[in-house]
Amino acid sequence: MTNGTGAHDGARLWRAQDGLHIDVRGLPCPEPLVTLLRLIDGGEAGEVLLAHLSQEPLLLYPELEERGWCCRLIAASGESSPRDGDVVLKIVRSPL
Amino acid sequence: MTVVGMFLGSAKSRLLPASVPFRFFVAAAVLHVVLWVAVLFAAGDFTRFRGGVGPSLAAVHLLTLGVLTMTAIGAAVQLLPVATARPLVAVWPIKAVFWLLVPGAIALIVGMYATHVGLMIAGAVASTVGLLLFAGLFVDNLRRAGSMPVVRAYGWGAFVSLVLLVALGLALSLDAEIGFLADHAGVALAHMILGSFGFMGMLALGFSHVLIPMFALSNAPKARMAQGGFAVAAATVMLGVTGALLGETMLLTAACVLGVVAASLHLRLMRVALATGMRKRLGLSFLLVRISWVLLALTPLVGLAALQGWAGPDGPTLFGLVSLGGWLLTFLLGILQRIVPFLTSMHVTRSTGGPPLLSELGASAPLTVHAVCHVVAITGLVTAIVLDSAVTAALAALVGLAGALAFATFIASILKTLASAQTRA
Repeated sequence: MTNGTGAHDGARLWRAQDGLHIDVRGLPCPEPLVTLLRLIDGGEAGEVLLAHLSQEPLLLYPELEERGWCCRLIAASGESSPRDGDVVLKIVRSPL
Repeated sequence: MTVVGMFLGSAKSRLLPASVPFRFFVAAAVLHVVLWVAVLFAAGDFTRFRGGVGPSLAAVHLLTLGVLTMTAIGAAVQLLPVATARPLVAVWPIKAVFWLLVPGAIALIVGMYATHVGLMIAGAVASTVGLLLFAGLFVDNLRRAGSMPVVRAYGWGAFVSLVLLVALGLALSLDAEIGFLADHAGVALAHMILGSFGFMGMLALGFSHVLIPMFALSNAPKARMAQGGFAVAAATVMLGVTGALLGETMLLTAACVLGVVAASLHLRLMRVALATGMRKRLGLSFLLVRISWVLLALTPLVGLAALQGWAGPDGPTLFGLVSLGGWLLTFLLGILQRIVPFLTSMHVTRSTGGPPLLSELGASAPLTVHAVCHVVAITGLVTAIVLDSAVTAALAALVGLAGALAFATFIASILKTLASAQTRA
């Protein structure tokens, strides 16, 4: 269930029961990385952020670690069928 | 396979085994040490080098084919698939590139040093095959990429330049044996322009559109200005190569003037990326990158001064040093010391489960020693050329050698981290 949609640096942003979702698929490198870190550094991400990406964000992991955030890949959520390589990354402030 | 596993399988394929990019980085670090040894031995004629087979030409190719190309290939094979979101078609061709290029480059460089034409031709053929194989992999990935038109345009520019570069390089090697070129010096200048500004320059400028915003954590450069920057850079290379092949000073002069515009546009884009980035403290690597940008801005001006005779008889040598040793080597060493820990962190898992902190990877003291020595060595070589002083060139080479050894120590510390992680795994 979704409650509220918006845009952030060209990415689609919405809040659901499981946390804040952001879809950065289709953004050129390094925009997905920068958009996610801007949400986290700006405090808008809250405690849980679910990022929809077009590939595993290899460059993001060291940045999250530096900020004390954890993440893990989860299955793509319902609303759109994933294309080849699409991933959903669950990012949380405290250890999973 | 679970859905998660399937995702991982697909995405992980873009992360090459660590040994693949790192074999190129290790080769670059080793050849960097050898480069300064070669400059030391070539100090006698280095300050007046205008081309021709011998120790100075060997030193130049240690820099270009050795350090710069190895660094560029190692970075490109790992970063291009991540940037374009398209995996490379296979890993084995990259290993084949390495095993063709390293012996080929060594044979070519030893042949140049010892004036052994047979060795030069054999080395040129092996290097050509290796570089064309890399070009094939590179262009296949670009062809399948759907995003980042400007980076792809620079990639295509680098590809075309590489093909022409190796063709002219092979022709120059064969010319040493059978003497079929009407203007060997003109072809050599075109080969130099294609190598410095076409292949390496286009790669450096193109990847900067991704790497600099990535490290500074800023948005990608504005598309319109980036497209303009590419168009001017490509026109600069085309004019320069045409001018060199036709022996037309007017075209070469126009290339230098256009080069000033291309450098200005690029530096403006980079300045915006740094100014708008979330990360302001970018460390020692970016000190080198900033120095390289100053030298990028100076390169077309020194070229113009050399063409017009304003820089004295050693102007062409100065132009080669500022562009290759100043801009490109400084830039690539700055970027290399930044991406190597980054790539390592993707391969290494800490005992706590996550990737290691970037600050935990690699020794920092050697990088400080390297940065100081590198800047002093390049400045020393510039002074040596201006004063036509072999002693100054030799002293600069010794300082450069100390810096290269420090850089190799840094790479060794990273390898130790990687090796211990793989042992634990």
